[in-house]
Amino acid sequence: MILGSGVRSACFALVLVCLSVAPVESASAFGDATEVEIVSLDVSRGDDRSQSVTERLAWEVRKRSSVEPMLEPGRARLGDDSLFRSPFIYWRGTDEIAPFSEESVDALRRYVHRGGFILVDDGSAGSEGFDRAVRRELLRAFPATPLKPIPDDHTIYRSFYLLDRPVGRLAGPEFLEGIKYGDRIAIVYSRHDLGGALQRDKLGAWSQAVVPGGERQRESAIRLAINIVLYALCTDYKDDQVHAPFIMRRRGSGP
Amino acid sequence: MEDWHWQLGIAGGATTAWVVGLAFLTLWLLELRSIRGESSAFRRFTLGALGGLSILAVYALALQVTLVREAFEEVAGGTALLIDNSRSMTLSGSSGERSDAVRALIRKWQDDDRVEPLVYRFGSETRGAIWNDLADTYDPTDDETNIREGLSTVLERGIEQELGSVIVITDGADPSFRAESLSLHASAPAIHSVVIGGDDRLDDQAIVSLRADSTAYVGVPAVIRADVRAIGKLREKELSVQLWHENRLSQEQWVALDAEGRGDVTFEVAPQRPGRALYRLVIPTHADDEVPQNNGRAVLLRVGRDRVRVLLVAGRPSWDVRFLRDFIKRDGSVDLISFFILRAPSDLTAAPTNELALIPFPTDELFREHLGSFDVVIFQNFDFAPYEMEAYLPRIRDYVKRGGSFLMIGGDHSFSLGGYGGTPIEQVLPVKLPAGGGVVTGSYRPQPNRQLIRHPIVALGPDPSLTRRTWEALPPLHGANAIAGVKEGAQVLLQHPRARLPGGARLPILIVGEADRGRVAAMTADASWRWRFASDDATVGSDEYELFWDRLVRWLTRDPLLEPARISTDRDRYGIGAPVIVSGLLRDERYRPIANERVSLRVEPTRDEVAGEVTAQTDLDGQVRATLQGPTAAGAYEVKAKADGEDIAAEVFLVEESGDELANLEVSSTELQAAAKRTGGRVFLSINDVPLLAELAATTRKTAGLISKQPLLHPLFLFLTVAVLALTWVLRRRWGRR
Repeated sequence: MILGSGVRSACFALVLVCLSVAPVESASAFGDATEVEIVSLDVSRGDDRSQSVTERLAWEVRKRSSVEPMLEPGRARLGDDSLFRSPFIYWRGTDEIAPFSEESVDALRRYVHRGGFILVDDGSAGSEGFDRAVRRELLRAFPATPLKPIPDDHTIYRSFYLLDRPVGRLAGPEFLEGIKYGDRIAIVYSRHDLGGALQRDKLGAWSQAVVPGGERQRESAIRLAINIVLYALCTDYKDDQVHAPFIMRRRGSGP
Repeated sequence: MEDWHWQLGIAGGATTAWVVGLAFLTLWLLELRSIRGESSAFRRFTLGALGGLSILAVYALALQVTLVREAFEEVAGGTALLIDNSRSMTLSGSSGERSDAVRALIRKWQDDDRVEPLVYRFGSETRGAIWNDLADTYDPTDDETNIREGLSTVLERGIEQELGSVIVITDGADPSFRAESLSLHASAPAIHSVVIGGDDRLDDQAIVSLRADSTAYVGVPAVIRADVRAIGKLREKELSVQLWHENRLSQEQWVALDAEGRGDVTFEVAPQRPGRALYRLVIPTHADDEVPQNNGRAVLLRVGRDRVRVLLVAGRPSWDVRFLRDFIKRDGSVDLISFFILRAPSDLTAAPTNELALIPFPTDELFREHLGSFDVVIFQNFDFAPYEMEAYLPRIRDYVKRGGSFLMIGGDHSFSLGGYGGTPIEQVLPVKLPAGGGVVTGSYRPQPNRQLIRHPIVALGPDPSLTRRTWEALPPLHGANAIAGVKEGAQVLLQHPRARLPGGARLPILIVGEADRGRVAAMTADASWRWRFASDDATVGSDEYELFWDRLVRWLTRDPLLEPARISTDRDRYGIGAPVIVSGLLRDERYRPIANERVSLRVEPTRDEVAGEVTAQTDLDGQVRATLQGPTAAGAYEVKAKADGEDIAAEVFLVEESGDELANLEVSSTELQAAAKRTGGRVFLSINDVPLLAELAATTRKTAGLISKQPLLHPLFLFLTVAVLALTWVLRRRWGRR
């Protein structure tokens, strides 16, 4: 079948758009070990939903920013060396979990001390079980630095996108919580079900509805997730003096 | 009679004396009893008294009473002459030069050959001199007057030499000297002083001392403080101090002097360039100033940046970028400006610009306006092409050649993959780039170059063996940029254990070098963060990661502590012609000690024939120490160490016409008089009052044995004793008693 020139032009344009939207496979030939990998943390067995979230998050990060995460990230467990496969761990949960072993708590502490970052995502839609477990285990690991609300002027809200407040699949509280380790926030805790807003089914459709803001809120949730990844990679880079005047002007408070 | 002591000569001493005494007393009581029947009271009294006297006389003779005294004799004692050899003795007053007065006094004393003193010169140090030619050889050049050190040395040696007197010839210009600081025992020799210039007060204005931090920072105000003083009739005159910099009068201040003629002045300077900055403080010379040499002093500031300025440009966020930036940012001595490319032209942010926290890449601002303000520029996995930076690459090259530092870290946007082949950047990189890019994959543990294992960047252990083991224990790296070769003069510090260059040599991972006056480094791997982020407790890494990057940044910024060779002088400033003691550690470019080799130490610029060059021998560790004759002209100088014809280390110092020695010229005899008072010495303020040396030379009293005499063996006493005994016998016979 021979397509008309107009049809051929339309197809060519479509291919170009697809090429530009689809992330290019990593140009890095150094190997996976040096790439950014958003690893999901397996705390309870058989939960693959976290990994689907990290895959979607990696895809969004690669599509929107210069960061080139692995599109098929791995998983990590607290009890073995897999924890140290990447300095970024995504820990999502919905239910109460059994207390960690002392070795696991120690591994968590060591992971953060050596530069690791943990995004904890409460996907329970408001139930207390997972929240209680997270607070309990983090307090065991970091008794001197408990979770605290992250102020709304923190770099994490302008590490890539300019954001006013955190949202996920749920509107949730108006703040993220975090544990500061040295000069950086090493653990970010979201009670907004960020993963729920990112998940798609096997056919590419969004898995869950975002409430109450719908697709606009979903976009904000994706932006927040990207900001968190960029913060983990750049920490307070956006606080550098060279950025401050630009950002102040964009926020309308600069000269 | 105070020195006499009595002794008993009778055998058994005091005990025998008591026994014999009691026996004689008993005898006398028996005598009294025997004459009790005598009718005449006169006869009883006479016989009793004569009997008592006779017994007492015999008892006294039996005791053998002896008077004893220790005898002494006066003998001629040693005399030490302690002559001030400091430069202040060359000053002239109305009565002529002080040193001429000393020579005249020495000749006067030498005419009288009764005394030949031990002679010492004191100044920076105390050393012996020869009496016979002292007048001809006396040439005071020391930069310091230290009366205490001189006297202490002579007094200490004097114990063995049985010194009777020490004669100090000085102008007393040592404000630190205190007589009470001398350790003087009971038989210490008399300390006499001849104060040269004591009757000839100087008229002088001077900068007494200068204080400034040896290190200053560009643009940061540094303070230079000076203490000034005026003596004589110039105490009443106004005094101003000028600050000169680069042959220009920079500032001038009038100084208010106190009642003692002292005052201070403070200047604030803001150095504009890193390097060495020479500032001179000058008191304009008054017509009556007798010592204009002490009107100017200089200070040499080593000007650096208050913090090392590092520009880090990253092609995209990555863990390698994150860990390196966090490490540099934590270092309080580094001012880090980082710029990451967060969005490439092909990225779809799905947001209008006003919803993004992204700013344009300020290429012009960074690479045109402020490039020169950075000490180190780091390109970390950064490709220049998408950001229209071709025009800036020659500027970066020139920045390096002028003395800047540049580091390229590997990644898929670095080296040839970043399109740097054939660009001005390749001209300064220490490596040659291949035409077609290329990478090496797989994990590996880089190995330090055996020839350069002492280089501080890779010397992670205290010795080569432990360094090698440390590198073997570090977590592995993954992949590396391919390069075509290493440029001449560059040093390969880390190598790939397996991969090879086209010529067969091991693939370099870390290469350092120099490009004209700048320093450059190439790190072809992008996973050093793995050293910091390791799982195993037993695995080394965290500390080594920080040590490695700290050393690399410091090496790029020429931290003196990381230089292979360094020398230093014993002082920052010297007087005219003063000896300069140079010491240091000399290592070759591979950081191996230059052991047991002769190296040249040379003062530059050479403005006279005296200041020059010496050849010194290094020890096994590369340590060197030598003394050079200092320059005879005031100014800033550099002493350079040269090995195999190349300059390998340098240090700067100042030569001042004045200096501390000529700063305090007020003749003071107070403490010398206190020392004389403690030892029975004398102080002469006018050279005309000084007597011949023999009059000041002391005698020493020596013990000459014991003198004893027995007064009761005097003939008169013996005669009286015999007479009393005879009279007693005669009277007893006549009065009918036996």
